[in-house]
Amino acid sequence: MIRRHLASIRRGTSRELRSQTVIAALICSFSLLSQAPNAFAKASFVGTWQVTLTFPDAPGSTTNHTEVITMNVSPRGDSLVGRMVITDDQGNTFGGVWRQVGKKISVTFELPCVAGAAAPCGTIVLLGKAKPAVGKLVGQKLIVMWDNPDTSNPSLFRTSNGTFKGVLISQ
Amino acid sequence: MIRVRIAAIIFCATAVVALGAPPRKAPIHKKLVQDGSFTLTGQWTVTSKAINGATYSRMGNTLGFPVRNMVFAVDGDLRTGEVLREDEGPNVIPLGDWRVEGNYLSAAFELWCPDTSVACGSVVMRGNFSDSDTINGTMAVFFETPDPTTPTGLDTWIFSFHGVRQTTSGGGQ
Repeated sequence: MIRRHLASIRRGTSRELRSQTVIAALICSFSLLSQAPNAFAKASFVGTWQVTLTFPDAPGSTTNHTEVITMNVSPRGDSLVGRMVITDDQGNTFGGVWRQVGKKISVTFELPCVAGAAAPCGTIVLLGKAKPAVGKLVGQKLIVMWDNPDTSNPSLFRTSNGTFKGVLISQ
Repeated sequence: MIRVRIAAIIFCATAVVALGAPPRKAPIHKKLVQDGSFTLTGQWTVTSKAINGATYSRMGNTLGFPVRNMVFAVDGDLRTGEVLREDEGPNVIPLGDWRVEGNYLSAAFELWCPDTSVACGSVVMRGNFSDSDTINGTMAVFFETPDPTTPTGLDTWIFSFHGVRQTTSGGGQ
């Protein structure tokens, strides 16, 4: 009887220990997940990115122009689109707008240009994927819509294609 | 005499360095200088219509032809634009940016797309001021639908617009 009692106590103790272990494991997992890196969080585009743009230096040109810009992407709150402040490597500051669905992002901005300059001006459209967990902005498409009219182009203006990629600076 | 020689050597060396330096490559674009003749700042009512009867893009996408109220503002270095889509809802506000050079304008917007099953895209607005309160031009929509027949690889749709300024003050966002 004593043995049975002792066995019963041991079983009860084991069950209690197992329960406590399970509870401890759950608490520990919850704590880890709550402090989990961005891999477990939504891939937000909000933050500061250093982005390298490469596109032709003029409509129809085979010479590429490369510039590095910094995008300070502001939160959009409840809006489906947001704003950003862009600084280029010549010290110009100008605005851009962005949209994100999942990891896919779309950005558009007007190039900063001087009135009457010989250099062509245009509008930039970027399509890509934001991967802040690994600190990357993966470029899928860069479009320049130049100011030069072209009735043979579906947009009625000359366009060029380029590439871009980005690195997350801070978030 | 020695001082003269030293000065001459320094002068020559400087000249050689200056003449031998590679020419500075002109930047592709420079600091934006807003022409003072015209400005988009203010609220505009913009109407649109099809060009050559094209109410849809080649891949079947369209924005329709709603009347758009647009607000443009200047916020420091930023030139902001927004579209007040009251027809879609009070909180539907596509955002954009703009520039003006002489009587030429360009503005770019990101579409507001609550339904992810419908193609979204970017809109570039290009036109001219016929006077300080009237603008005309075309809008090009680059839908995020592939179209290998276009130079950009994106489904592209254009329509014309006519805008009349309602107020000169721009709230911006």
